[in-house]
Amino acid sequence: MSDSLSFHENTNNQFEEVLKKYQEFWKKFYNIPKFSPFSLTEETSNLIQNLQDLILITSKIQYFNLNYVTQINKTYTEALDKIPPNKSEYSLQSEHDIKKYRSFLLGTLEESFTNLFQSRDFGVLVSDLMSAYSEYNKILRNISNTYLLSLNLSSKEDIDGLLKDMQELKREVRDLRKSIDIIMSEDNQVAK
Amino acid sequence: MKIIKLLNNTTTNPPSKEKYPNVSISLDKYNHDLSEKIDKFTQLYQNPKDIDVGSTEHQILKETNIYRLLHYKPIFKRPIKTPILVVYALINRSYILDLQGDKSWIKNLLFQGYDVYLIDWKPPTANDKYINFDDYVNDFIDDCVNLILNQSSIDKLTLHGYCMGASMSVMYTTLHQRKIKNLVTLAPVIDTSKDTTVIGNFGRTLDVDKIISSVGNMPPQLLRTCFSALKPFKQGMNKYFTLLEHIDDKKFVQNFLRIEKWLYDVPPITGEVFKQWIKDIYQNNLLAKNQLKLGSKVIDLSKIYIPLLNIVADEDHLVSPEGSAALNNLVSSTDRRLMRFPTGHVGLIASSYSQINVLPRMGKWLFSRSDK
Repeated sequence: MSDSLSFHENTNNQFEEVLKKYQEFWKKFYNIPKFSPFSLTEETSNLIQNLQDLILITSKIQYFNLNYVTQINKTYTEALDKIPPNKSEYSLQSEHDIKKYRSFLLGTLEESFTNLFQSRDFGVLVSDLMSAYSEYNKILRNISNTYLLSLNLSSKEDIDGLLKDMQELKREVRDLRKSIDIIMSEDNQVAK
Repeated sequence: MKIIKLLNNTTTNPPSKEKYPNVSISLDKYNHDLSEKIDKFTQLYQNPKDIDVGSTEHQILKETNIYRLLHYKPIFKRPIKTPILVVYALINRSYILDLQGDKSWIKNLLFQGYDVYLIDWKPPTANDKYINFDDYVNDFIDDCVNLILNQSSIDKLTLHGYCMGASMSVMYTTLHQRKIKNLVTLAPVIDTSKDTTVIGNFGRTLDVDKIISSVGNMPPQLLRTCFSALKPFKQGMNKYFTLLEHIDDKKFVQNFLRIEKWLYDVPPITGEVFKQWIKDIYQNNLLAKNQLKLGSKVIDLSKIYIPLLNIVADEDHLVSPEGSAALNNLVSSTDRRLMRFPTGHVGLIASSYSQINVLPRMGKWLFSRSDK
């Protein structure tokens, strides 16, 4: 394990190695010809590939979630350990005692969790988790697209292309409109 | 585990009734009261529509699918000639500036004699995901400015932004300065290299292209998850204990629910804006480096020469105060002022503190720089 890498990055690298081996193992099974009478249709090949990707990304999400929960739990127990032994003797015999203890406990937890949330390691983990969920959505979309195309419906990419073009056109209209306004106001000034 | 030990101690060894009769009765009563209070608490969170916000009288000057331009009814017959256009952020909703009568930012400005307009951004739909900062600044804000200038028959107005709205106001001023008399910013995000917040930490490591290509617009759920990491115990949890303690105080409960409604009223952010916000501003700090591009135009903060008032909250845990304060060193204005207040991000605009300390000083600064 490299010292320059964080805990999350180190464990993540090890996990990536395991995933790579898994991929290599399954490659043999779906290494079916891409053309010739022995091939599957393009849609079926894509579907198999997408399902394979779905399994991989689900494993990644599980791994990141586990890492996330571990870090939260670790911080929680570490925070509680910071309570000095004599503080655990809170009598809790009146409302005032309860409030005092609550305030102390929340303060200790706040400090530990803020340190965690401000750490680079946790930032990278949150980013990896969100990216993995995004990847999962993308694969589901690829699978849906296969069916949408067979039903003669537009895919998300087709609609995205249209929306992007529309926004570009709106900008061109805006710029034209503003240029016309400038020319007209200059004309008005000359006329005056 | 100490907490378990402690709980065990309290459950297995309750205060002896013989030894401490008063203590035991007091705790029984406390538990009973708490249970009643929790019942009342759950009743409160049923219908957010019942919570009234934004009650200051106004008319809608223009409404598109992206924004509403509101014009508040002036208190005085002849308000100060230079109007104020408030540019709110794209995060949460603008009614925080007019949450309730005694803590309304807008109402206070009206009472100081100003003519106030506000851009109320509407939640974008999936079709709006390619709208970027260029559109917000050079199209929507510019349209609002032109409309106000035409309607009021004046040449310039005061541009006044909050948080992300302050950053957009700064961008707008660099490109359309001839229409702006004064620039007043509240907690602007400017130099993110000085940012030490949790949001900044998340932003710096986020693979924003991957997320946005998947979700289109940045969804409220993800934004709320990020916000929940800000002061999760002292504010996130402790406030509910405080609410339970004041559950029979109607005024306290109403004020509390208004803020709560606002906190959870998070619209999505368009995908392109979110990408620029995270990549260009948080990850590459292009705004402070004078390298941010809107369309074909570069945002160069050193081009700003008009009077600038920059207001910063020293206990801001959402936008680092040092990152906001950096604006004063990046502009060329000779008339520039930095005001710092010992309060938080929301406390700066929606609190009794801001009514007493922030707004009068801001109003005074602005008064001497506005046409009467």
